[in-house]
Amino acid sequence: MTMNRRTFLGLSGGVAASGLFGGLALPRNAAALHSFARQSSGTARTLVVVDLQGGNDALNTFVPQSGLYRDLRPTIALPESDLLTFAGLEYGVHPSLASLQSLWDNGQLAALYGTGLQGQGRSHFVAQDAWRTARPGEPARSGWLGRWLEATEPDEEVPLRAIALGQSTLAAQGEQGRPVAIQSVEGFRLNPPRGNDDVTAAVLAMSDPAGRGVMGEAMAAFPQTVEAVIQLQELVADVDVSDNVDQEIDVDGDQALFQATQAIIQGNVGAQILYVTINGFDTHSGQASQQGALLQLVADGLADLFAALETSGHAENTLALVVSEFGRRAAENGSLGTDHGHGGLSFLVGPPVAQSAIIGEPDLGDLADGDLRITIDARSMYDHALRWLGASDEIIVDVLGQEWKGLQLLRL
Amino acid sequence: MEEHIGLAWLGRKIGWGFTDGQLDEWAGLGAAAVIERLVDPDEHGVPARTDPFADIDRTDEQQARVVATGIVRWIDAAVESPRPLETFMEFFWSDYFAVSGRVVRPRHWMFDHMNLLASHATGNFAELLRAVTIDPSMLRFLDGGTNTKENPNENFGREMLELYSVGVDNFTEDDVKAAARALTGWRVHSRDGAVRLVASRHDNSPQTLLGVEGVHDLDTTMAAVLAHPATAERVVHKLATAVLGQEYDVDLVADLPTAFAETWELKPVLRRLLELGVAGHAVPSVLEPVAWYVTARKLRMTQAGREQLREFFTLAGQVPMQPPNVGGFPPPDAYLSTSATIARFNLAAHLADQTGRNNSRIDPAALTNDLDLLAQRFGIVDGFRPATQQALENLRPGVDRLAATLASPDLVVV
Repeated sequence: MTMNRRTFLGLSGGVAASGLFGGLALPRNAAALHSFARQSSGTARTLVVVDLQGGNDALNTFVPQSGLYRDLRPTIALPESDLLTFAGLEYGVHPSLASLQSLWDNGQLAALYGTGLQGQGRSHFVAQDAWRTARPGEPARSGWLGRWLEATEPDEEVPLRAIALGQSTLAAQGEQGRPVAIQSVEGFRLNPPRGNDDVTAAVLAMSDPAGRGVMGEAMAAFPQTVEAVIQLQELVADVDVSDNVDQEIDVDGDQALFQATQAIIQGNVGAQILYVTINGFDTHSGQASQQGALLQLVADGLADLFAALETSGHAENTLALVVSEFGRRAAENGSLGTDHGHGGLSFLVGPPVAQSAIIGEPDLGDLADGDLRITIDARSMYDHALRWLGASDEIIVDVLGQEWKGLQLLRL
Repeated sequence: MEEHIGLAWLGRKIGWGFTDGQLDEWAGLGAAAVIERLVDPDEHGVPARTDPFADIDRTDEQQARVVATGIVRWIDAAVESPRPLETFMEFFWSDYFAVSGRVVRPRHWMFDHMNLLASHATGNFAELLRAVTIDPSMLRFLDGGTNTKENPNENFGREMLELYSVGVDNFTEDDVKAAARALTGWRVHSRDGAVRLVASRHDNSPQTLLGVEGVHDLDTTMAAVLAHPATAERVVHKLATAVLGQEYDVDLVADLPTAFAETWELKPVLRRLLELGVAGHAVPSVLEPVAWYVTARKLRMTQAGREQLREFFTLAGQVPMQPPNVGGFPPPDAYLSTSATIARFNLAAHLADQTGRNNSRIDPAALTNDLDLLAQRFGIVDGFRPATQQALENLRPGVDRLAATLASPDLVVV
């Protein structure tokens, strides 16, 4: 049974009055909640980061025309006849990316070749940390988005301002706060025994705002969760999300993550950062089927997302940034796959993109230890995306250590 | 009394909860004897582990059902385990040598993988590392089975150096290539999982690995990574983190790696870590979802329905035998996420509700009537925190109070 928000709030009002609620600031009634929703819709911009975890193979995503490509990959090079052509793009496109065609044609897809952070190495975890903290080589405990969220914290707390979909992420982790983590909108509800909200209220009352350390964090988890659940269920209840999950390509049930993304944006819950993690790009063997399925999942997810947001009027204020911790080795490895590489491929997607383009050029004749070089610092994309979100020079320096200007791919 | 607190920690953290009367029994034995029984159960006539997957029909065409049954059986075995430290360590190694059951085919090979980890759980690390390197599931997961002389595949070599032995910053890209070459040629027979070295696929040429020359096969590879001091340091650090918590005092174990590297025997290391924990040197940390569920089940709670259990592990982010990636499960703090919090609350509600049904072995009202006894039952020897106590008192004994107890922050921090 779904928690009934009204009965719950009615009850929790009493709990709040008794002081047991601590610092929890729940909107007192539905009207306040909707007024909050109206304030946050229309003007607020939302950045959707899609993290292709494991290291997406750039060269088999946007295929360069260089003959060296086929020399390096005698068995896993994509056949010429399978490649898609996007108007004006000098790369062959992986056939699983067909649904990105319309975004490209509409001028809403910019690709960046050779992205990374110098010194990120070839370890998943070191490279992921470098990308997520934007402080390579430092033991940073906060992410670039987490620092931006804390630097721009509004006076009135917005519980669903940052949401991690699929799994939690260091990128959106602040010095203190962590993003709300959601697997699916459907599963994001509390089901007390027989729907009895007394149990929910009791667990809420166990929270003591004076709590410190791990116990303090454990006590804070439930109030944060209840707040997020109430707001999300209230606001996205009426959003109609297409339920056309294709089992064939839905590798780990991840299509639900894009549907949740859509529902959250259309629900006007005040989310500014959505971070979607898709696992499985570490294609050391059997790359063709694995990468194909994953790319299709992401391409379809993004295409459906922006089509839906276009209809609901949210697209103009939504930007997607697709990243991956590294590209893969230029040469194949003989297991029908590729080993860890260096420079990667990133995308900016959506109406905020000024025009479709690809920047950076993979030079297969000038590899670094067998890998594509890093020619575009990830932080220049972060700088660009944060400015689109409204960040000032000062905030940029605060979050990224310095300004990383240079890219002009977005309408700011 | 101090020792009582230490034993309570030991049971909650390492034992994944107490069966009825177990803490009193432990108190009677004393900490030293309890640690000895945990570390060396063979010496004390403790029954051996039985294969939890033994009676599963692996030929079932519904492989998803086979996997689901395997998870349920593994958990059941953990609840009933006569050797809780070995169970704890079996799970620890399934995280340390993270092989994903979502990738390995046939999927039931994961059962053999777990049994292999169990057979070395508190044994010898050098033997374990060697065995895991040529374990069929690992050969599949990190492509060791397609790593050949003609076409070396770096996947296992890199992760072996980064995750299983010396750790990041202690090896070069050349070391990755050398390890990959020395381990070429191992093949897995798809039908029965038999593993053998195929000479024609093996590159026997001498490699330099971590400064050791002449590395050319499995044994010389193992010797090279074990000869590096960082390997013992890393394993001890991982073990200490698992037992004592993330921010443990490193000075307390500073002497352990050197001694460990002499024999690679795990028991002395574990004995020492348990002694430190019992003596109060453990740092509070979040109880992981698997441990939390087993803890609850030890109250003789009715077990969760399969669908509820699947949803719990998925939302919580810790499906046994299915770590999300090669790095294993997320660190304990991750299990305070909203998603994991929902997972715990909903499963707590489900468990209490199931337990409250007519044919249940225990009566939730009787179990939750006396809150001090209930806290003791979980090994929370000082009783619940005041806010929790107050909140529970406001609920009548029974299903609701049981659900709220299971969902309380008091249970999730050890």
